[in-house]
Amino acid sequence: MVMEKSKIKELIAKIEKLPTLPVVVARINAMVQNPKTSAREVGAAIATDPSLSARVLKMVNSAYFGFPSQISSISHATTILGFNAIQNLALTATVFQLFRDNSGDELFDRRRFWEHSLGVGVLSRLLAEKTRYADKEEAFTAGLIHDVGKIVLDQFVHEEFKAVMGLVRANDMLLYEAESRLLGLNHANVAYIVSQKWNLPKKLQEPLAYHHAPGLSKYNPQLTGIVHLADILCRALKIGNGGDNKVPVLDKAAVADFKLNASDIEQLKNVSEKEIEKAEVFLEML
Amino acid sequence: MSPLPQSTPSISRSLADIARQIKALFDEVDQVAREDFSRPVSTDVRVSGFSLTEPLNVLLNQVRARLVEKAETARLQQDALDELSKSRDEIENLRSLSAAIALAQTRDEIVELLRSTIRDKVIPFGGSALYQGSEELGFTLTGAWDTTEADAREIDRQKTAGFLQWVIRAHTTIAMPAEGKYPTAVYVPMNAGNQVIGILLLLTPRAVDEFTQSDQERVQMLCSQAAVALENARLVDQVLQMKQYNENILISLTSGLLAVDLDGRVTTLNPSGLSILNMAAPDILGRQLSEVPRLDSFARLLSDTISTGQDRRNIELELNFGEHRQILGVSASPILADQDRVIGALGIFTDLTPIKTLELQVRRSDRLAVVGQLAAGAAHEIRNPLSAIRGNIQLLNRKLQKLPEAEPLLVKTKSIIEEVDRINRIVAGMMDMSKDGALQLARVSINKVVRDVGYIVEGNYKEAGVGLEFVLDELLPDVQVDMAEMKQVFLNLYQNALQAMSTNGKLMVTTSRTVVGEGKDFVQVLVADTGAGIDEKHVEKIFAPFFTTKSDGTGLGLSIVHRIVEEHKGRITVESVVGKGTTFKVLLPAAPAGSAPPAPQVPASQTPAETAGG
Ligand SMILES: Nc1ncnc2c1ncn2[C@@H]1O[C@H](COP(=O)(O)OP(=O)(O)OP(=O)(O)O)[C@@H](O)[C@H]1O
Ligand SMILES: [Fe+2]
Ligand SMILES: [Fe+2]
Ligand SMILES: [Mg+2]
Repeated sequence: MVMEKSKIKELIAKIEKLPTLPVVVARINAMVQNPKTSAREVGAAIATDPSLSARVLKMVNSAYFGFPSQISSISHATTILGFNAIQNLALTATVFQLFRDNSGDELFDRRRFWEHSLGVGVLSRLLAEKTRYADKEEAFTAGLIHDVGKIVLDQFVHEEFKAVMGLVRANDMLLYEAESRLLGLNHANVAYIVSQKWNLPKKLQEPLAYHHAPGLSKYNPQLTGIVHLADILCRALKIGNGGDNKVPVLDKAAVADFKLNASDIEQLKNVSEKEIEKAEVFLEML
Repeated sequence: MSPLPQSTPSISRSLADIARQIKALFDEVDQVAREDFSRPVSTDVRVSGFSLTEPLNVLLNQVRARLVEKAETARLQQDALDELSKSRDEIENLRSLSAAIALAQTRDEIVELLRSTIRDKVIPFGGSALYQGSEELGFTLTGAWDTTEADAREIDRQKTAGFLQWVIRAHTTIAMPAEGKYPTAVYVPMNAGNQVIGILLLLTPRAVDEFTQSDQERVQMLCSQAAVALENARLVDQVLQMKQYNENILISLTSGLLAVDLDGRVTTLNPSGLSILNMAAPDILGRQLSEVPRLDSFARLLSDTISTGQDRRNIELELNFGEHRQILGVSASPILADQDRVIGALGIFTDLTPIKTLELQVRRSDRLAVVGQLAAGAAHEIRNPLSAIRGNIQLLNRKLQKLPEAEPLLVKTKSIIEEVDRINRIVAGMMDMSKDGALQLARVSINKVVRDVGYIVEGNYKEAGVGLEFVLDELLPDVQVDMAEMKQVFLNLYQNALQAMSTNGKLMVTTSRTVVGEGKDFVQVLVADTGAGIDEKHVEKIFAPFFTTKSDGTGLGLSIVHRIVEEHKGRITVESVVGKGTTFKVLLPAAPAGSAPPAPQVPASQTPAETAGG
């Protein structure tokens, strides 16, 4: 089924109504790129948004990081968890804030959706550790927001998305295939538009845009492969629900370099439950 | 808010103008925000010939605010890019320094370089400490530098706070507030690959929130480089230690160890092995074992081991050293590489020669002991028929004395009586010697002892055509001796002398009185033979048990002699000239004059019955 170009354009126009990220997030992104930025400067930037500060501090002090003592300032959190981690936390806290409307409907269960997202975040983090990806927190964030396109569709083109969900239910098919068929673009494509509009860190863009087609990744194929695999593992392990009940085919080439074997996967499975529990503080932000 | 005036065309033109300008501005802003950060952004919006009304002002101010924000972000981005490229250079710089760290050999060198590089290039710091270990085994403090007492306390306090464990798990650098002189404690994990092998703790004057990403990255990079170097140094050390350990084992091994490669070339022979084989390393190391004289049986054993790949345990090998032979106990096994590939063979061996000799001697002395017991029993049995013979001959003798024509026969009977008496003396001597237990001292003349023992060996001497002569000082003081023991002394000396001499030799036994030291009276017995003499290098060994040069000797004779003389507080020495003869000198303390009654003199002619059981 070929979609009319104009229809797709219309859709994109609607999606682009999505609010911009608060300027503080963009500023932090820029600051963190500068190696000479001090922890104090990051703290001061986040402090301009007191509610963001509070949410970031809450996560910093959660079981997820398990730091042995109370961390009372963002600047100190920055020297402990690292500049990138704070940047990622600020981004996550903001994204969650934007989509905190949890009402949903009987077709798309937002609660289950965020559980799926958290699961993919945690598994991405574990996989990052296993495959020695440079930044585990970045992997967590990538996993956590990989399906942000679904939420955007649900929020900004609700009627169309409802039709997609109906198709998924009726045919027991993959959500992104139903999206492509009915809308002419899927949630990964939408995530790309979002990441452009939000000017997300480059390393995060491909994992969001290509998590269902990791072969397309050029700039950050490792993290793209990680999120691709984490997504499939989460579905196989039935952690949360991303909107469909099918498990997509694994792109073996994208994960071949990870050199994972059955016992690695088994081990991931065993630790994931506890790790997800630790990360549940993120869902509390919704 | 008042409504916009819309009636005049000029107003609408102006509005269109403003709208265009605003749109252009937005475009510009978007452009800047999206990619072109370096372009200057004009924040100056002019609307000519028109006074803006309130809503437009609001709009314009919003635009301006957004513009400023975006420009600000753009400036930050630009700064970031500038710093990034600067920091790339710095990191390049550090990399060459860290290469030096990687080249350092010892732990101390590595840590010293690491600390000085961090101090010169990254952050100033005062006291520092290093923890080393592994996630499985835990970490311990292995070094501290420039720490004052207060620093040491602070380091201790930090340790108990649990941050160390967190850093070990998270593998990331953290800065924590500290107490005391320095406001901050920096923990840097030393990551070698995926493993933390250490934590460097630095007390620094820099405040916690003054830390930059670049500080963290750079200490982290240096420490990780040092970690790899430390890990390498540890591995090298381990290998060296292992090698040293193996060498120590080889050196301390009391057994010999000899290894050959597939060509039968000797690759290893430990010091014990060299001394057992009585060889120097250059004579054998690297040589073909089969080409080493007298080790051909060893070579055969090892080449068998290589070809069969089987262990051989406790093999006795006889090595021929000319007339000398040596027996080795060898266990051989193949040397395996990769569990199954034979790359040589090794033999572990001990010298069995002393044990074998000992075995032989023990067997022989056991036999002698049995013979001795038999002889004692036999002696007893002999003396009864002997006294009957003597009595009858004496009777015959008396009868013959009454017959003048029997005169020539009297010579015969006398001779028979003398011979019987001689048998009696020998037998009595043998019975004396079979006694044992505590010394039974009696006061006797040493002349009698040396003479009596002479009777025992007389026959053997005659048979060998060797003379036996006594030069006895009749005025000698007595000695206090155990007869049985003292007879053993001279019996052994006479026997050794006889064994050392050939026909026409002569043994000369001389007694005399001598004074030793502070006027102590001694009786001296010289036992001088004209035999082969004792090789100079054997002289000091002859009194040692089991030293013998005779194929059927026990080597016990002289050791017994020595023990007995010592027991009597005497002394025995030897002088010998090879080819000329040997003289043993026995000194015994003289018994104090008249202090004890003389021991009952046993007359040579005494009847056996009188001494039996005595
Ligand atoms: N008179 C001697 N002349 C030359 N060598 C002697 C003499 N006496 C002893 N020796 C040397 O001393 C060694 C030790 O003597 P020792 O009496 O202890 O043992 P042995 O005579 O060899 O053995 P055994 O006493 O069992 O016959 C002898 O083997 C011999 O080499
Ligand atoms: Fe997805
Ligand atoms: Fe997903
Ligand atoms: Mg002897």
